[in-house]
Amino acid sequence: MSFFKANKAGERYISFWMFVVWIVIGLGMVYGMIVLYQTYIDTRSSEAEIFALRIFDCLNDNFNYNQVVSNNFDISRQCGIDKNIHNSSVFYFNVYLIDNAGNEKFIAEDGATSFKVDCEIQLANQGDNSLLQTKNQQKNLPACYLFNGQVFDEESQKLWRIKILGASNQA
Amino acid sequence: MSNGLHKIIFNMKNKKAQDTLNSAVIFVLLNAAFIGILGLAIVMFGTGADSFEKIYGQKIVMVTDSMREGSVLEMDLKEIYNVANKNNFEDNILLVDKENNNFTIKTSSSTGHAYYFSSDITSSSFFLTPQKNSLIIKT
Repeated sequence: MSFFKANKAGERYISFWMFVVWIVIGLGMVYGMIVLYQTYIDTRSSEAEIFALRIFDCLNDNFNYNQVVSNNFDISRQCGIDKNIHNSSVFYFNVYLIDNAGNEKFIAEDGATSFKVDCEIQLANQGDNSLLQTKNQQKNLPACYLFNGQVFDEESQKLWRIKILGASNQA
Repeated sequence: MSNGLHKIIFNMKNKKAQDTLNSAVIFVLLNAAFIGILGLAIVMFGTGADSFEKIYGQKIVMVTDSMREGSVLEMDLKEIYNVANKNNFEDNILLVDKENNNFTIKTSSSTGHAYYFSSDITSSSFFLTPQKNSLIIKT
């Protein structure tokens, strides 16, 4: 500690302020490293959107109402969705058809079913119905994308509204 | 000035010079240690392996999931290969697990990230071409 005493010969080399400067530089470096390594690249919203649009593209191609509502309809096989999606706890989707009277008909769902409520709450809380994608994403909640579109059944010549919710929580 | 007083003054000056020398040596040693630690930290963390893995991992997931059946795509992985080379990592940088529908991207022995596909990749193919530093995806 004698280094810090005034009027010592070595004070011009080693002083209290020199240590302060080193500590500040060191802490700055550590902070920089932490910020760099905790960089959170959030692509979940895009993944949810890609997922929902993939399902829509698949159902929209040669849409047939009778086929889609039949018990044998396997949406995972038909649309090339991961067959283990219900085990992954990373993705979720659901599909509803809506008729002209506004009645919803459930078609399919798979994946982490708890995401459904998370998505509904997030989308409702945004308070703007035009926003179909969750924003200001929290890390512990899935990102959701609600797609509203229309599909045309050539067999019955009927237009259906389709609602697809895609969710992803892939960190 | 008496001989005794002269001796005392000489000893005091000598002591002062000794203090200056000691503190200068300590100063140089501490500086060298500080710069060494900073250099080591930059070398250890400077490759950015973790960030590159995250960026490319998520790119591969999104590209693959948005591809239509029957598509072929070539993705440039030059940056990832460079990072792996810097880290002297010679194993496969990309390990695809079709059973669990996921893949692991790794550019050093101490890092690595796993990502799931939402699309079924059972019938897809992933070819790494180290010569061209690229990844070919066929769905």
